[in-house]
Amino acid sequence: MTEQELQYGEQLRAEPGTILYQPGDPVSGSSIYFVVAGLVRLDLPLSERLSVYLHPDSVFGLVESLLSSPRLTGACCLESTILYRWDREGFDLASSVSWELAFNTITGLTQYLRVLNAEFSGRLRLAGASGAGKGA
Amino acid sequence: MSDKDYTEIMKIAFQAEGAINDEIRRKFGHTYQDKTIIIKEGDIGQQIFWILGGEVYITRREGNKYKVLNTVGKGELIGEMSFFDKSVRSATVISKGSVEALVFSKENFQDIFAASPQWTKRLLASISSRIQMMIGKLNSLQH
Repeated sequence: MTEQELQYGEQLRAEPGTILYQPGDPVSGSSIYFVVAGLVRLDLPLSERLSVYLHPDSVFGLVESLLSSPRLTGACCLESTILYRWDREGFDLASSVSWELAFNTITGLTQYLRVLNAEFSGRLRLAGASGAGKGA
Repeated sequence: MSDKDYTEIMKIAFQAEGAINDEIRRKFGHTYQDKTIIIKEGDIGQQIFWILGGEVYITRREGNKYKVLNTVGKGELIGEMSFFDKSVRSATVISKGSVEALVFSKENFQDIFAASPQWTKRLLASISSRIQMMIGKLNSLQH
């Protein structure tokens, strides 16, 4: 992260176990996060746990901000973590001056979507196999 | 906003942009003749394609056949998923008539960004919508 990008947001430190937000929380203010150091876990509110682990250089919290939606997942710091966060305007400014930030953000979202796609396909297969077993 | 509305708005916004000048076209523009394979299913994606003119078929192999999943045209980006997350190409893309496209690789992402920082925002919005939809689908599997 360059000073140019950082000037549009704020840094925060979080202890292990800090819950940044929970599913259904409203989104306002500085809601888009960047992992500077540490480890963050996103949890989807499903009956069977589905988690995505975020390492340094990951951006999260953006989806709900872009869609003006309540939080779709929970976010929890697993280690002592240093984060950077922006509000929507700050993120737009930062990502408009930094192609690296834009690239990392798009990459992170496509990886997240890939996990969801694979999980959905896997669960569909399981449901199909289970249904076939019941019918046999 | 529905996916269809979003796609329509994206197309209009792309067309309204004056960012794609002659220099960008010279540097990154490619023309594909009719029925040319632009992306091959199973390959590793190193490029992203921004269609400036014409249409392409999105096809996927199903058993011994190829099924046409969709036809997309001007203003659309194709190949973005495997370009960014290094997954293998999930579909074969074939030109339907003559197709003009800007072709970018990771090495010149800076150039794409410089050509139009706005498209990255649109791409983020598009992927976010797909994430939201997929979370909804996963939730619906539980009920």
